[in-house]
Amino acid sequence: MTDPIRLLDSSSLDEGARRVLDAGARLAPPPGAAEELWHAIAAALPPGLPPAGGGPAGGDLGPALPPGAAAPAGGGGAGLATGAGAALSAGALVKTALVGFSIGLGVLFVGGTSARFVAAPAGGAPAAATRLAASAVPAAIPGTAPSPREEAPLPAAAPGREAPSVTVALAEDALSAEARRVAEARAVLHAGDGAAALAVLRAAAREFPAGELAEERAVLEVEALVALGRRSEAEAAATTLLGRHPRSPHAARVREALR
Amino acid sequence: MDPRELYLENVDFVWRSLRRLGVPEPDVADSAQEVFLVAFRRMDQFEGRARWTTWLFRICFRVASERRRRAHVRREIPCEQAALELLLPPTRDEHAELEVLDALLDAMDLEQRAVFTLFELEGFTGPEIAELLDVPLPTVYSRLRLARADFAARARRIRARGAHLGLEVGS
Repeated sequence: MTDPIRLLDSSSLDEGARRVLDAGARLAPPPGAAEELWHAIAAALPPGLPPAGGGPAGGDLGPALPPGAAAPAGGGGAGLATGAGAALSAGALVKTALVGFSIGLGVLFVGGTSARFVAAPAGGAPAAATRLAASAVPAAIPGTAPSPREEAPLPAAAPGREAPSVTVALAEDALSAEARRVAEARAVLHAGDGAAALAVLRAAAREFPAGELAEERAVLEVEALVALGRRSEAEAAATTLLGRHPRSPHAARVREALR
Repeated sequence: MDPRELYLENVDFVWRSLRRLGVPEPDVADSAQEVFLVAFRRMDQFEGRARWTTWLFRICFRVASERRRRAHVRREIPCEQAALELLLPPTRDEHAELEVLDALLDAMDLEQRAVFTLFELEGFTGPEIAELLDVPLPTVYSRLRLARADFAARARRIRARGAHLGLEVGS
């Protein structure tokens, strides 16, 4: 039984997913937070358990604090914000964080065979998780520093359970097809053809009765019905939508359509 | 080991473990304080049968679990929707990736999330995670496989929805 290759060590991981995971791998207390926390802990320690190390309760951790625990070390910026910033250019858009997500992750999971996984290039830059483990995890975690992984397959699916690779591949195909339908309906609706939009949406509802984009389809249906002047039907569709998804991000848009 | 030494050696580990287990940034200091106070009070019960990190992570897990249980009933925004909303503003600050990661991880149950983050982000091996969580190795691999599939599927859904809203989230 072998560990699979880590996502951050995989050359198949797309850039958007890598940035998101890398931000998680670089997590550390913000500058000064560790010292501040120690003061709070020292103050709350029970009487019989004074902080050791020779200092008074709430004493300065100062020189003993390891780099990355409190003060920024050499511009390394152990803070959460700085750590995240180091993984990307300042002012990066969240939408860019997701660029390429589906393709890269799809490759990782579709198939699930060793052929999909490629070991990190020998002598290349270490992956973020490796860097973090080597630099930030103190010696109290012996033997946990990861080493570059050889090409390795995902473990086999548990008996009696469908392999996620197959499920995800099928779901991806269905999602892509559904997304195309939604885009088509949206395009014809914006072109002023509410009837055509409604036809596309109804067909999509039959084709994808449990589709991932049902909520988005419902929003467009409300707008299409409004465009066609079928207000009572639009209101009924909106009521159903908001009943199922009371905090839908589209709620304001639906209410606006009915004004 | 005295409390100060334990703290110094492990504060980074405890901090990032709590964050990765879903404790929001504004609450991490309080949760970390809780973890260390529990650890200090029970240090005399630690008999060296496990590593300090193993012991501390288990306390982190319990603290995060309790917090998640309390937060669950008052959670107002489903995590996937939160991720979608992150797509809406035209610009984001440098916390954007972490917010997206949080949103992607929030849907996992805590056991899957622990395995996923320990393996993918902390660099622990499967056997180490099995020991840490006190579960069989096949369970670790099973949870990792499911967590990866969930992570990938959720990312795709968020991306598809963003595209539907006319956002340029694809390349």
